[in-house]
This record gives sequence, C-alpha cells and structure tokens, in this order.
Amino acid sequence: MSDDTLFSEHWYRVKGLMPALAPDVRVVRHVYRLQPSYVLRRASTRTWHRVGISAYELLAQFNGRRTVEDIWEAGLASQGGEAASQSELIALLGQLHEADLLVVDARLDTEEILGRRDRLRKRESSQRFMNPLYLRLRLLDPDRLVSRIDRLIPRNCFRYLACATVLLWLFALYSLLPHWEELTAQLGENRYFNPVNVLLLALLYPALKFMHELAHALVVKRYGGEVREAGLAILILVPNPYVDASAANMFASKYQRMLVSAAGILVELSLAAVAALVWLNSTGLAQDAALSVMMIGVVSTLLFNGNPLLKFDGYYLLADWVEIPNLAARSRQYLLGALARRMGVTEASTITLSDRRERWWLIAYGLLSSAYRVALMFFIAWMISGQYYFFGALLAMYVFVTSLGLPVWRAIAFIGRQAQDIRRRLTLVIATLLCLFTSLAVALPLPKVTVADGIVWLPEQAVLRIAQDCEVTQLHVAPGSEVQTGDRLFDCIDEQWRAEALMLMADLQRLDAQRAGLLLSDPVEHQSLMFERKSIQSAYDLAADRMQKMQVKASVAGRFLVEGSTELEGRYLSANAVAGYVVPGDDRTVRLALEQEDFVWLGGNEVKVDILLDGARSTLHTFSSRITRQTPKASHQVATAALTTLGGGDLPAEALEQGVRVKDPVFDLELAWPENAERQAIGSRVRVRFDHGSATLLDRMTVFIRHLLLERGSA
Amino acid sequence: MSAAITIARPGIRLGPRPELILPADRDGLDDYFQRLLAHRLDPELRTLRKFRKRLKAINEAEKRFLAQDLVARNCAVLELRKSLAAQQLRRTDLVQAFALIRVAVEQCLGLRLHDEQMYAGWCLLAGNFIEMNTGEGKTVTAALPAIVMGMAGVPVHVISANDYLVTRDSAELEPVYRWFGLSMGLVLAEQDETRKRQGYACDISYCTHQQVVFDYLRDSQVLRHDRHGLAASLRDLLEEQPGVPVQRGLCFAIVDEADSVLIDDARTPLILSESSAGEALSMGEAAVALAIGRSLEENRQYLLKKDIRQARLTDAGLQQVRERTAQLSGSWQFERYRQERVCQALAALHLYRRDIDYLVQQDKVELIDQATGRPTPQRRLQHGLHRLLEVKERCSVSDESNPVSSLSYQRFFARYHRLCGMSGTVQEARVELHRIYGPRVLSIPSVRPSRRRMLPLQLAASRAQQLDLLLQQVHLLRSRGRAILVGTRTVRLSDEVSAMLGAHGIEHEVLNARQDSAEARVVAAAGRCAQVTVATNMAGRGTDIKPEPAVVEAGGLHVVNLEINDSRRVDRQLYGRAARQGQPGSCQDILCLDDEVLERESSALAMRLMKMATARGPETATALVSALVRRAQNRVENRHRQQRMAVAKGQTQLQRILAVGGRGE
Repeated sequence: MSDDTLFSEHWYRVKGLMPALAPDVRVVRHVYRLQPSYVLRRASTRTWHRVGISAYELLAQFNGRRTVEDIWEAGLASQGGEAASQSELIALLGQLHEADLLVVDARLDTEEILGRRDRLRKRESSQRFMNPLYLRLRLLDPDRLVSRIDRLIPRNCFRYLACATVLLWLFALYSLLPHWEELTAQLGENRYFNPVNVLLLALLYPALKFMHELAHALVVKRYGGEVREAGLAILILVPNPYVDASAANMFASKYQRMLVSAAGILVELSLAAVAALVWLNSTGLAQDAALSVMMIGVVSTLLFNGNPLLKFDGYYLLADWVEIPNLAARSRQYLLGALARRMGVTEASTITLSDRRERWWLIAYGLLSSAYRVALMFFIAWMISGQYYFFGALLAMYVFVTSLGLPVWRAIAFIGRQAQDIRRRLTLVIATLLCLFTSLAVALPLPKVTVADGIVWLPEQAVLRIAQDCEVTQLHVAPGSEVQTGDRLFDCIDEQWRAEALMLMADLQRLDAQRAGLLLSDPVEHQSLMFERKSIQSAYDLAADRMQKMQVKASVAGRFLVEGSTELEGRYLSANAVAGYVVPGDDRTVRLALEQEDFVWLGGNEVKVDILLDGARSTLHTFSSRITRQTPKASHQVATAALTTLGGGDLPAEALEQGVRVKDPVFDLELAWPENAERQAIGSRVRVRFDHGSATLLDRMTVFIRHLLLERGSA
Repeated sequence: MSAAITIARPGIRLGPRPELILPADRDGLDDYFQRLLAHRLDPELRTLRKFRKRLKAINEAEKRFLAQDLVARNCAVLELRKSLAAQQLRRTDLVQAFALIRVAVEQCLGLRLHDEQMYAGWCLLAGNFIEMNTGEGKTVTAALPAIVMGMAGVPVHVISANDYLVTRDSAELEPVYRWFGLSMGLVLAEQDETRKRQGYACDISYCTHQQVVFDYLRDSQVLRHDRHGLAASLRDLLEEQPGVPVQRGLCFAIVDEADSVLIDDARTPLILSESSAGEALSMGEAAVALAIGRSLEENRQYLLKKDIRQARLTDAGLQQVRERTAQLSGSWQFERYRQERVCQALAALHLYRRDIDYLVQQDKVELIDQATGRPTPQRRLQHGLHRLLEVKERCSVSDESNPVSSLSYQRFFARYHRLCGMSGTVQEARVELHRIYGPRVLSIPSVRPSRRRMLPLQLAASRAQQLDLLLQQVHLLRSRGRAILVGTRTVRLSDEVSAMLGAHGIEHEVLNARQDSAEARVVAAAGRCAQVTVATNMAGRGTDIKPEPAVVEAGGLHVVNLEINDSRRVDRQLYGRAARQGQPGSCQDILCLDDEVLERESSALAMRLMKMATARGPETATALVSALVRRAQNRVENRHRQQRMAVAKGQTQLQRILAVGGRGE
C-alpha cells in the first residue's frame, strides 16, 4: 500500500476523460525477474514507455468508451490493497500523454501540444549537447540501407555465424600465443605510438566503429525492429558513428535484446582476431595496420564497450541479462533511498525489489560503477592535462563539478527539503563527519615513508680527481695493485708550473751568489737582497708545494684502478677529470636520485634513512644510514645510468652524446654505507627507505598539488 | 528605465479580456531573469526623499488647479483622459492626475492627501506592494492608482478581504470617483449575474478576493476554458461566444491586505463545484466510518500526523478495520477504499476540532479561516471529509458537491497584467511575494510617529493563571477608563474569556465567527470608555476601532493578545488596532504555556526553560521567553513558507501532468 491518500484534488480534471491508446501503439509483454511488465511503443513518434502489471491492468481498459472514473472504480474493486490511488492514475495518464501514447476524447489544446513538442526537442537537444564529453549529431535515416544489407545476409545464419566466430577467436588466440613476446615488444612503451601508427589508428578507428554500429543495426533489423536514426557521436573528443537501436527495447526475448547489444563487441573482437592472423603473416605497413586494428578492437572492448560499468553496450548487455531494466538509475535510486532511510528520512524514495538477488545487483552495480566512472574521468583528465595543460585543467574541473560538486549540491538541496528534525539530524551527522575528517586530515599524523632505488657506489675519496690540467709523468704503482693510504700513485705535472718553479730556483741561486759578495762590502745592499730573496723564496715554496700536489696519493687503502682504456703514463688530464679509482676493500656508499616530490620531504624534520639489503634466504636486512651529501639543485644528471630506464632503473631518461640525461630533474644523494653491513659489489641495487616520521594528510595534499601545478604548468 | 508605465486594457491588441499568459514551461534561471526585468524598481521610487522632485511638480500643478474654477478643472480632467488613453502613461500626465486627485479628495472628503500617500499611490501604480502602518489611510491611497487607471480605460479591480470592507471602502470613495466621472461598481456574493456584470463593467470594481476568483472560474466555464489561444481569438473575431462572461479581463488589481490574500490564503484552492446527484459518501457510510474510527486506539492502531492533518492506520489498525468491515457490503469490500474512509473518519474525529477549526452554526458545519478568524460557509472539505464532520456533529447533511474547476490564489493573481497591493504587514513576506508574483515591497514612512507602547510579554503557567492575569489587567485599565481589546486565535478561547469576564461581572462584547453579523456594531462600540471587547482575528485586519476622546485622553485602546498566531504578521495586525493615526495606545502579549503553537513547535529544552521562567512568575526573564516564543512562531512560519514555495514550484510539473485532461482553468 502506498502512503498517499486515495483521493486527489485534481481528479475532476481527468475523471470524465475517455482515453484510448493510440492506434499505432504496440504493446509487448516482457518478463523481468519473473515479474511481467509491459512495454508500449508508438511507431510514428518512436516514443516508448514501460509500465508495471497493475498499471497495465488499468491501461488495458482504456478503450475510448469507458471513463477514467469507471476504470478507477473497477480497479478499486478488483485490485484490492494494490489498487491505484487517484493521483497515481493521474500520474500514469500524464506520463502516457507526455509520451504521446494516448488519444483522448477531450479536445486537445493546440498550444499545449506545440509546447510539448518544443519541450521534447529542448530536452533532446540538451541531452545531445549538454555533456561536452558526449555530443551527438543526427545525420541520416539508415533504415533503407540497413534493409538492403539485411537482405544480402541469409536467414537463420546466426547459429553458424556464432560457431564461426568462436572458432575464429580460438584459432587466432592459438596462433598468437607463441608470438606473445613479440607482440608485447611491439606494443612496448614509446614504441607503439609513433606517427605512422597514430595515423593508422585515426584512419582505422572510424571504419571499425562503422562496422560495430552496422552490426547493431543489422541485428535490430533481423529481429523485426527499425533503425531510424544514425549519426556521429563525439565521445571524449573522438568522433564515433552511432545508430539508434531503441527499437530493440520492444523485443520480448531478453536474448534478442542482449544480442543487439553484443553485436558490436562481437564484430570488433572478430575483426581483431582476423587482424591478429594478418599480423602474424605480414610485414611492414600491413602488419602495423593489423596491429592497430587489434589494439582498437581489444582495448575499446575491454575499456568501454564491453565494460558494464559504463553506459555502453556492456551495460545494456548486463542489464538485460540480469533483467533489471534501467539498472543504473535504479541502483542509484536504491542506494540513495537506503542511505536516506538510514539517516532517518521517512519519505525517502523506495523501489520495490522483485527478489533478494536484485538487491545485491543494485548495490554492487551502484558502488562499482560510480567509483569506476569517477576514476576513469580523472584518469582521462590526467592524461589530457599531461599534453594540454589548459584543456586538461578544464576537463578536470568539469569532472570535479559533475562528479563531486553536483552530487554535493543535490545532497544539500535534499537535506533542505527535509522536515526540521530530520534536517537537523542530517546536518549534525554530516557536520560531525566533516569535522572528524578535517581534523583527522589536519591533525592526525600518518607515517610517511619514501622508498627509492639506490646503487651501491664508491665513496667520493676513492675517486681520483685531478685538481688542474696536468700531464701524467710517472706511475709509481702499477694499475691493479693494492695500495695503502698515503702511497704515491702517480705524478701529474703541469709543464708550465715546473718551468716556473725552475725559474724561481734559478733566481734564488742568483741572489745567493750576489749576496755572498756583498755581506761585508755593502751591508745595505745585502739587506735589500735579503728581502728580495725572502719574497722569491715564498713564491718558490708555493710552486714547490703545487708540484708536490701533483703527486697523486691514495687517500684510502684499496686496489688502484685506472680510468679509461689507454696507458695512464703520458696522458694529459684536464681539470676535474677522473683519473682512476682506489677501490677500497669494504668502503661503500649508496647513490640515488630522488624526484622533486620525494625530495621535498627531506627538507622538513628529522629523516631516518634505512638501507635494505637482501639477506640470505630472501630476508631483508635493514641498516640505518645517513645522508652524507646532497645536491642543492635539481639537475638532469645522475650518478650512474643504472638508476635510469636505460640501465634498468625507474627514472625515464634518454641517451645523449655527453651521457645520460634524465627527463625530469632529480636530486643526487649520497648515503653513508652502514658500518655493520656486509660488503656489496659496486653497482648492485639496494632499496633505500626514508622515514620522514609522520605527515598529515593535509601536508601530503599540499605537496602533491604544488608539485602537480608546477610540473604540469611548466610542461 | 522607461519614463512611462505600460498598461494593458481590453482592445484589439490584447483581446476583449486581457490576461497574462504564463509560459507553461519556465526554467529556473529564465524565470529569475524575466522577473528581474519585468519588475525593475524605478530609482525614483526607492525612497520618499528621491520622490521629492516629483512631489514638488505635483504641488505646483495642484496650485495651478486650485486657482482654476470648476469648468476649467473639468476640462483638465477631459484633457487628461484623452492623453492617458495611449498605450503608456507618461510621467507628466501622472503628475497632473495626482494633483487633480489631491484637489478632488480634499473637496469631496475634506481631507488632504499626505505626501506619503501620494508616494504610496505612485508606487502602487508602478506595480509594487507597499507597507503602510495601520491607520495611515490605505483606503484613500488606493484611490490614486484606481482613478489614474480608470481614466486610462483600464478595468480596475480593488480587492478587499471581506464584504464588510468592500462595502465600507467603496462607499467612502464613491464621491471622488464620481468627481472624475468614473463609474464604480460593487461585486458581492449575493448578486445575480447581471448585477455582477454591471459591477465588472464599471471603471472601478470593488470585490473580495474570493468573489473575483469565483467569477473568473465561472467565466472559464462559460467560455469552455478557451480563455486565450487560437480558438478564443477566432471566436472573439466572429463574435460567437458560447456565453457571456462577467469579467473584462485581468488588467490591474489593487489588493488590500495583500499578505493575507496572496500569502496566507495562497495555498487554499478556490473550488467551483456543482451539486452532484451521485453521492460520493452516503450518510450511512459516514456513520460506519466514524463508528469504526471511534473504536480504534491512538498510537496502537493509528497514528496522527498533525501538521498535514492526516491519519494513518498501523498494521494492527488495518487488521481491526478488516475484521469490522467483513460483514459489510458494497465499497467496504474494497481494501483501499475502506482504509481511506477510516483514515478520513479519524481525521474528522481527532484532527478537526470544533470551535477551533470549524463552527457548528444553524445546523451546519462551517470552517474557520485561521488567518482571519472568519467563518467560510462556502468552503467545503473535499472527498467526503465535510460529510464526515457533519455526521460527527449530527448536523443536517448538505449536498455533496463535485468540483468542476479549481484555482489557487497563487495562480490566479499571477495572471494580472499589473498587480499591486498594500498591507500594514508585508515586509516579512517580501521575498516570497517577489518570487511568486514578481512585485517588490516598498515601505512607506509614517506621517506621524507611532505612539504605541508594547508592554512586556507575560507567560502564564496555565490557562487559569493566564485568565487571572488578564482579569487583573482588565480591572486596572477599566478603572483608568481605557478601552480594551482581547484577541484570541480560537473561538473556543474567546468563549472561555467571555465566560470568565461574565462570571466577574464585567460587561463586554464578543466578536467571533459565531457573531459575525454583529461585527459593525461591536467594532463601533469597541472604542467606548471602559469597554471590553473579546475578539478573534476577525478584529484584526482592516478593523478600524475609533476610541472616544475620553479614552484617548486616558491612554487609548489597549490590545491584549492571548494566543500567538501562526504568523508574526497576524499578531502585528492585532497590535495595529491600538494607537492608530498618531493616537496613544498600548498592546501586550499574555500567553500561556499550554498554547498550541508553543507546545507543538518548541523543543524540549525551550519548553523546560519557559517552564522554569514561569514558575517564578509570569514576568521573569521576559527577553528569553519572548525570544523562545518568537522562535516557535518562526518555525511555523518557515514551514508554511516552504510548503507554499514547494507548491508554487510543483505547479509547472502538475499542470503538465494534468494536460491530459485538456486545458484547465
């Protein structure tokens, strides 16, 4: 029993009417979850409407000779507690009238009819154009074309076609499996999306989609429906053909309806299977084209058409299969109603469920689809914003408004409509939740840990760097031999300085010679020479010291290795060049490169750095460490190519003539090697964990958004 | 801003019966902008000070006219009529017209229109609502726009709240209209069709709001609902009408007590009905339903929803009803039908209370209008509910009537080409009025500062204590020689007060829905020395109590309000009876904790606070108590406003659904 009263104050407006269904209205009985339901469709206006059984019992009596009042009273007598109230009957009449399914004896109001037509057009156009991600342009009436093609296809061929399709798929899969690695290699990152392939995709996509839509249309035609509208739908800025297959709603068998929805996917998958065979047996452009067809067929099926969580073919397939028409709307209504009732709203909208399983369908579908939809939208916005910052930001804003702003606004409006006590309770609950969430976000510290890949590397003093340009004159130790700290390794001498030192030496000797004679004869002159000698002596000391430095010594004990393949002796080394290494027995550091958003966290409070090493039997040993060095500014250089994608690391990089260049600027870090850790080979990988203590959600959001804006903005 | 006012009058352009056709499908934003554009406020009209320039021009014109003799003035009137016959009213013409009206009013009625009234009249003419303090001469102000529009050939409807006011106001202003050569007609409920047609054919017609809607609905019936559109135009062209309507279209209306008509009554649809041969609910059925209803137990077998006046059966109740009706035949076998009937019977038994919601008079059940306190004999509850009340009160059973068309004031008044109104209490409703009807509300400053004193609120713990407080106050004031008006919301309380006063030997008059015939006499006597009048809200709007000079000397009329009303505006109307036209006066609330509004709308905490306050005496913590009382009242007001807005919003949808039944009214 519904809650509203039996009588309506507007009853007098309709009670004397003698309505009848329009002559060209066809009624088909459908069964949804064992509940019969009736679909009415008027061919001339292509409008349709679905009613339940009790409404149909009344509707069946609309014959143009009985008044609405008679019919209602008869319903009251025959339907018992389920009888329609006056307002329900008025609503039913109104809906049928709005859908143009009714012929009423009363003279019709011309203005009203025209107004209704305008309203329908307006609604249609707003449906067509209001959603910028899904615009539809009607182009033609394809019915004759489809009929002609339909005549070419033999009758009763679906069974054979189904067998052939399945065989085709199996065969394609079977042939493809041995070449799987080859396929993934071709599709590998940065390799597939080259200009030729993009052009091929752009050309083949409409063709494939045309086949897809044609399949829908042909199945509708085959089962006796009509296809009266075809055109171009612009879906996420990509043009797609579409056909109006709404005639399928009339098919009484759910399998027929399902086949209409599935036809497009089946065709696409079959084409992909054919393309797979072509790909295996061709080269060059043909192979590329085949690959594109496979990509389109499989990806669009998996992501969009075959996916029941979006309102494409897969959705209708699912809805027909589980026999819940309007699955999306119904599940939303059900979930919202349940939520509202839980919150204490008494007049929340309820829907009658046919059975228990329907409830689970509704709950699962509602939750999954909304989550998926929002996630997909944000993903698309993310992708686009990488390329076009402005459009991406616009799109993200649109997505944000429609998927978050509008529902919140509707919720507020809904709360506003409630009675005072309920409204107060709802407001209280929501405000409490919000406060709780906000305070948690602002105040609750959550552990913040960053994990990065590091490379075991040499300590900086193990690297033999040359201070200034010089020439290696003499090797004291043979490369490859063990040296001790302080051992002279080789001399590297700048000729110019040696000449200078020799000159100064000569000067000194000259002065000494002059001075010897003058000590007694001219003490004053002797004195001035003494001063001069002193200054030259200090200049000479300096030069000698520099000469001394040219003798490169080992600062650590270890094995002496020479950089480069040529003999070291006689080589001319430029300033800052690496001449060689003294590889210590157990002294190691860890080098790693952090991206900006991770590096930001190092600036804050105490950071605990741990190095994780693989122990025996796949255990992880944790050793604490500290940062010994870090570059103050981000650069495109890294310590070793092993950290980049070129060397098997994570950072995307490209190889240039000068060396490796990382795409996004990074910060170079050096960590001390933990004392008690066992030695690792240089160049081996370790995991490094930075424990920043804790950070609130708010902190993380700020860092994330700041980084996002900076990065995307500069891109 | 255009310098002129566009007018609509019957003619070739708008047809013989012009009315505003609202688009069926109005978008929220469209509607908003359209309203904003259509009801821009002339900057000159924002305040009286800005209007001074215009007033100066009017004064100059007035001086010129005063210097002229009668013939010259009549010539001026004729000239003015000619130039006002254009499609727009020019400001220069309006200045002339206003000056002439001032002269005419002074000549005919012997009173001079204040600058404030001239300003108010201009505001009305521009299509605004005005708030004017009670006793500032609203009635005469209405003559200004009425005469201007009358001279311009626009049929003017001056709409008042009841027949008493219609007759009084029209009689007062008739000489002025005659001075201008304008015809004035009265349309009253008891008149026949020819008289009514004559009334509407006049330049200026006075009628009540119910009457004008009833006549409109009847005209719709006569015209078979083709009021406009192609069919109507063709018919007008061929002069082939199925019948002769009485009205001449909806061109210009001046609504007195605008808030009462357009807000308080907005939701009640006016129903045009015809007696039906077939009975929806026979007496026997009604008796059975009532008997079953009486046998049920509240909360166990049924629940009452007081705010929407509906009863609901619980499962136990449904079972009981099923058992009780098992032996009965006919429609009692229809599950939903019998449920509905029993629910209705429960509502009739418990939710409609005698002397509060309805009166039994001359063997008839008459509903009481809550806002005005007046009986409404022509209103009937629908779907057999009225029949149930009749059987419950053992009255003679009137004919069941079938509605043939119905229209709410909200939808009716929106069809006027130009709507304006006035009231003493309309500021509170300005947002709602603007949203639903469009016009703005302007506040007119008082000529003389108000000398009304508001005494502190007293809250009694019980009804007995409340009456005791009242008695003390009455003794005190009577000894000083003042007149006292005691206001109640319900007839029942007014009877109680009357009995109490009688028991203490205090002579008094009672004015409530039961004594409505004596209204004029009671009101005339209410201003006498030491006079006590007990009245429901009937003595609120429009009632002009004139205190005797001796009473004015002693401090004027004192108003005591015993029950707070659903809306602050109604309370303010009652206070407005005291201290009119610069006279002294005072008013006071003496409330009681048992007050229905307080009980229903106060939270448990507020109730406890008020109880604590009253336990120490009726005058403690007045500020807190009055705040709590206002809060309770605000809640009722807010709820009602939301309901009205929801109804207004749902209209488009509803009309679209009802379009299946052909064109409505």
